[in-house]
Amino acid sequence: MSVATPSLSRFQISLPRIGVPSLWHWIVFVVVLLLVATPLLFLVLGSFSTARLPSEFSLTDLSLANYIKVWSDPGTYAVFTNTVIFAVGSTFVGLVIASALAWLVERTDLPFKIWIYAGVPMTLVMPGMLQAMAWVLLSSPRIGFINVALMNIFGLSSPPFNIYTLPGMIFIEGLRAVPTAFLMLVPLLRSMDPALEEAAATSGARPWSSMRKVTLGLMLPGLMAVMIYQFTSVLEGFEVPGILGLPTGIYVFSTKIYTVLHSASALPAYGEANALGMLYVLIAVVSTYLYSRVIGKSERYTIITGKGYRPKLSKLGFWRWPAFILVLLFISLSVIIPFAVFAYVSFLPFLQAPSAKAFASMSWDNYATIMHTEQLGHMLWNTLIMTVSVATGTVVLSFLISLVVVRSRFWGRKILDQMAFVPHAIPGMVMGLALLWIYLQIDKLDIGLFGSIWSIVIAFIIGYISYGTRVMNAALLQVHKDLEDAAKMSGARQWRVMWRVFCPLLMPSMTGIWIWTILHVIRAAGKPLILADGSENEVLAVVIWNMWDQGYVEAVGAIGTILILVMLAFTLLLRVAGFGRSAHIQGASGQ
Amino acid sequence: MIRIKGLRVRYESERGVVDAVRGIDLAVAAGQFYTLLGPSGCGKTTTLRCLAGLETATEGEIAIGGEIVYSSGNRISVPPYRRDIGMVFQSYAIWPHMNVFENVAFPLREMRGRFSRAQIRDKVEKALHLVQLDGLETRPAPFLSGGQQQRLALARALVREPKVLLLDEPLSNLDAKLREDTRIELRELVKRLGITTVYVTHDQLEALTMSDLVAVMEGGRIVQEASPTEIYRMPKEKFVANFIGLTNFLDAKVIGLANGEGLGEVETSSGRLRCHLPEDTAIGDRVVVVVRPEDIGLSTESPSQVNNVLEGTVAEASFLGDAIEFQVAVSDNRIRLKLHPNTSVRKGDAVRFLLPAHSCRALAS
Repeated sequence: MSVATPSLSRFQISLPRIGVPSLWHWIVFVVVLLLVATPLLFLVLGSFSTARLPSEFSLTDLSLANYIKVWSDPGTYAVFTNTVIFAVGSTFVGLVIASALAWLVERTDLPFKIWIYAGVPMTLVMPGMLQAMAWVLLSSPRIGFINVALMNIFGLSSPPFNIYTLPGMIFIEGLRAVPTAFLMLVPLLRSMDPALEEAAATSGARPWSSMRKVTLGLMLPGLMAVMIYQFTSVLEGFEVPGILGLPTGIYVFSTKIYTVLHSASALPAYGEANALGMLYVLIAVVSTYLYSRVIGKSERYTIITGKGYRPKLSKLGFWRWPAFILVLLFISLSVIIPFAVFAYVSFLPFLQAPSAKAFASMSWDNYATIMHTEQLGHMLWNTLIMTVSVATGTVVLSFLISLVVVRSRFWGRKILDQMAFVPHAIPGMVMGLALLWIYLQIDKLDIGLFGSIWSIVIAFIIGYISYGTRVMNAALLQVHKDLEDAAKMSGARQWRVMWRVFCPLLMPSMTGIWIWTILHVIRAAGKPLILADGSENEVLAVVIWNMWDQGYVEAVGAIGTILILVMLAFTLLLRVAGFGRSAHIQGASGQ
Repeated sequence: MIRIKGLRVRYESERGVVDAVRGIDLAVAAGQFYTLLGPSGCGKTTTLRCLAGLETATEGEIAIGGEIVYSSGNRISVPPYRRDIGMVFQSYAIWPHMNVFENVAFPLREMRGRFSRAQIRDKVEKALHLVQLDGLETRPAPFLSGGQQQRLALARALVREPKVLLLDEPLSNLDAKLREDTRIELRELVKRLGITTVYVTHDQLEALTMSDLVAVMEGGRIVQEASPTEIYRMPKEKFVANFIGLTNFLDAKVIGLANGEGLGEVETSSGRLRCHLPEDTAIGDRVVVVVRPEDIGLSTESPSQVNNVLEGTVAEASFLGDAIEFQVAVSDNRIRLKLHPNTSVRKGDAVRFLLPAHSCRALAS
């Protein structure tokens, strides 16, 4: 009954010592540090390296030569201007469309809202690479179906549209930004307590003024966060500027770095690529800082706002159906039209504009051809292993990181959170380049990581933990602390608490991250292009890229059609399986 | 059963270093119902969470049932899952992904292999019967009402038959009527089981009606620890008197020390009063005289130097149902008194009233 004297209790020290429970916090911290900081370190070191190849890297050959070479080239400044215009433009286009959609779905009496709510995120199914290719087929000056049709009808002497331009790139990349921005904006609108707006109204503010001063004011930090996130997303995009910009020499940084490494005429200039990539590191640091500041602010706001309100819906009146048609137009532009183009091309013996003759010549030949491609089975197997490993790894790692960040008092939790976010702003191309240096160093130990599927898997996981941890942080904040503590009080150990309480409660978020990652990995060409070595390590995105490059447009059409259909089916399946069951859990855990 | 020595909790938050608990000593005997009472931010929940092992203290020693579970000196910190306790949370913390049965069975399953399936079924049913939730085993947890969730949380805390039960404001989310019933039921239940209970609340009524011993906390310290009656009748500090029940405070100066009855004399701006004085008081000390409104009664005597009768004008009268509360202006003081509703006193009347000397306590100000 009484407290033992100190001398006695020295014999009871079989009990765990203070500090041991945080051991796994340390492990997570060190793993993330290794994954994020080492590539960046090598990126920096490599930019000063004068060695011809990364494998010849040594600390003695360091100089500013790469920087001088790169930044004295006037071409670099043109690239810089292009990149800024491209990123700002696409963010703007994407955000405007996404805000309009989110507002229409959440706050108005738009018809068929549930379908639109489900349909907009579905546009994620369309890979950017394929979307860009589809629009090339529609509006390239030479073969574009729309151009050809308009020239025939109106007797124009020159094609009216040219997709191989900056506006073309901005249009496509902007469309691509919409679903993610939409998914981020909807909860923002939903969590806003209408009482705050009503309070403005009863204080004598007119609707427009209350919208501007209260609604927009409250949303501003959140909106800023979405904007910074989208801006960095666009910066890292490689596929769209790759397909649309490379043929006509309109470079942005990510494609410029690719060209420096894949120049047909010279040895890859790794050092110069690094010197270019450093600009991204700078942008990454700045945007991470801004993002965390803005997020901190928006979380302060969320405390004021509540949950579970049924906002009053604005009546669109006459504009109800025109608004609906505009929404349909967006979905058509981003999914339906590109898909139709692919499906059309995939049945053609050779590329031609739609006509009675073209439809008459259709056959399954292209599908038969790709089915008989030698490497197909191997390539699909690679792709499957890669996507599943990346998605699972991302979910597990994000979950662990977020647990430390949100739920512990670990001293480094803020640093951990920021480290997890940094890779988002580093383009896949640059991260691939940085990892290349490491893999080549590791290869001196004869491990054989370089060029393998696993080298790509690691690169992808690093890139996606930023998204994974953002979603997971938010989801964990929703799970009441008491639910965790109650399990501990019931005698559960740390890992049992994770397994029996967090995992089931977070299943919807985990499934969401898993799908999102799969959808992104399967289409990303940047990292595999730079990291995969040898045909036995090829994945789907690289195959599509190469086939397009070599002009096998009809075969790309067939593969693209199958890919889109598979991804669509996959998304629908997991939506049904993952989200239906847990709807009531989500509702109840927020109490 | 529980002994806490010199407990201190200090942590860093965004607003700098917070001293949540600044040195707490307490002892709870086996089977006792012990309540930590105080306003929000007084450190009562932090103390409870340290006891549970959910929070690690900075300094001090905690023992449960003779076993040291935390000791800063010996670097001992037993994790929560190895402490023999059950806990009910303010939010109930019912896991929404499990049904009623699974929620209660969870603590048993975590003892891995100690119980067979049949034993678990048996124990869960007993626990559910204890809280009158029989027959709801397969109901998904989110489909329970607030009162049912509260009882489910209790069943889950009791199913392992722990030595100690910790309750963190378990009634504050119930509506008023249900809270009243549950108060009595809960006390009866834990008394019947003979389980040592530590209860955290900011509701004085809960503390007074349920506890064997109440510790009033303020600013991370225990201000007074005593039985409910003593806490109410004999508050040691102004804070306690103010926090528990409605009280009159009169600033005063000591003019006469305790006589044979233990009563001294003080001078207030409304007149002289005889009252209990704190120990070690000297003539001329500033004190605060505390007297409960319900102890004051009307008087027919005229105010004199020593009879504790005052005279004033009724400034406010509010009908409370079972009583009327009057505020009587006496020079610059306002004194509240509670009278039976059929009194003839009206607002604006001049009244004389008696502050019984034994109900008046002077506290150091």
